[in-house]
Amino acid sequence: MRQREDWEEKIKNVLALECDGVTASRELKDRIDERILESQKEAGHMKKLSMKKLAIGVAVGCLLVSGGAFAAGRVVSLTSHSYKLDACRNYGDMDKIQAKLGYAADTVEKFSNGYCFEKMSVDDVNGNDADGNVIYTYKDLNISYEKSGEPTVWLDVVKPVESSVRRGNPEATRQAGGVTLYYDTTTYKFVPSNYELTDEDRANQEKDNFTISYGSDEVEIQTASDVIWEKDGVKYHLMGFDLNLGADEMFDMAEEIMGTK
Amino acid sequence: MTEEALVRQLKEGDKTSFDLLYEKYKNMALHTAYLITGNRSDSEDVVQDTFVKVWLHCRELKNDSGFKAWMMQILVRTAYKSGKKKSRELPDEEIMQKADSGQGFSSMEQVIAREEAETIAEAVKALPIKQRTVVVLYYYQEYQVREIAAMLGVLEGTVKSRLHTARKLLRGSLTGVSGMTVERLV
Repeated sequence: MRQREDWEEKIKNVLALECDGVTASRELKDRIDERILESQKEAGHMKKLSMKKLAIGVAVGCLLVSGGAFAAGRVVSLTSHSYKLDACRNYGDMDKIQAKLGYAADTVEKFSNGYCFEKMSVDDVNGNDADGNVIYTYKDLNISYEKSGEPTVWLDVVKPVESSVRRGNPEATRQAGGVTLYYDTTTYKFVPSNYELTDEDRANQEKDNFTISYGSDEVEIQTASDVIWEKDGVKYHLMGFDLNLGADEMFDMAEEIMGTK
Repeated sequence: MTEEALVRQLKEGDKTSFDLLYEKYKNMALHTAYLITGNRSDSEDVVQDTFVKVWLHCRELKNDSGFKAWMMQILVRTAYKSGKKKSRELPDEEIMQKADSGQGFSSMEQVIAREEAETIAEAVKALPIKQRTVVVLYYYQEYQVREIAAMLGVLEGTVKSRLHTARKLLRGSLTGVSGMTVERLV
């Protein structure tokens, strides 16, 4: 790093102070998503979700089948068309949303821990073969929940066309209403481009639940937490980043969705 | 998953990879745009335009490991154009709110430090857009001269020249501020 003189450090500090409290709002992201959606509609652009991404379960706002791998070999990618403009912020419209979804899904408006419904949307998901041909189509439901001062929690619901199989060992499980709930965490370590891996990093990279991401200004670690379950042929994925929720609390939230608690 | 992998998936149209990259860089981008444009509303417009361009043109990125520099190039050029179109118009109440906050200072040092911070902030904001942009990138984001040159699409010598000019302007503005030793350092 460059050696800075005292006055240069003061400039940096003052500019940093100027930026204090300047953070990207959720509305800004919504506006960006809307612009992207408009461009997609214009160009017929479709987004593709890689199987690897699906497998490690970091997807947000799209089909999430964390820990799963599709059994059939023909489908190599999933294409999802999101209608962010159609995102609904009124939980009272859930019946309309589920009619659009085409199948019944368990949902709640408010959790006992204070998380409340924020908005929901339905996405079209296509399974594509290696040539980009659509093999099948289905819809998934995305719901975000907010709680003051806490990270967002997302619930993704999907009725997969193909069966999925679980891989790896979950960190925790719970039985509820004849259904098995699986809890996992994945750690993301964001590091500068010139970061040199430590022995611990190399060892961690051998794990399924640890990834290194280059390009940040400083080392930063974020953890994604997931609970997955399948009920009546519908797969549910409750997740968030850096949640102040442990496995039991997330299991409790899952049970509230299922109606067993 | 590495950032390169995210970029590869972004180029395939993976919106989730886009979301993760946005989450990573959104505040850094907003701060840079804010300091260049001097206006919160304009800076949000700049960030919005930047990430929409990232989505639309990501396939033009040749080097997957160079996402951050590429994104910053788009952002800085967008902010620069925005700044040129509009005169800087940071509302006085924003300036005073920050100046009055006194964050990081205490007791007898507070008045002097606050005066000094106000003066420095005003001096930077008063710089012409060309000089302010390189000052923000060089001092705040700590980019190298060659990196700034690549972002702005100018020669390194041009960046050095703008930095030199900025230093001279800052010297003129900061001379006499209590506790500063600008003449020695600039």
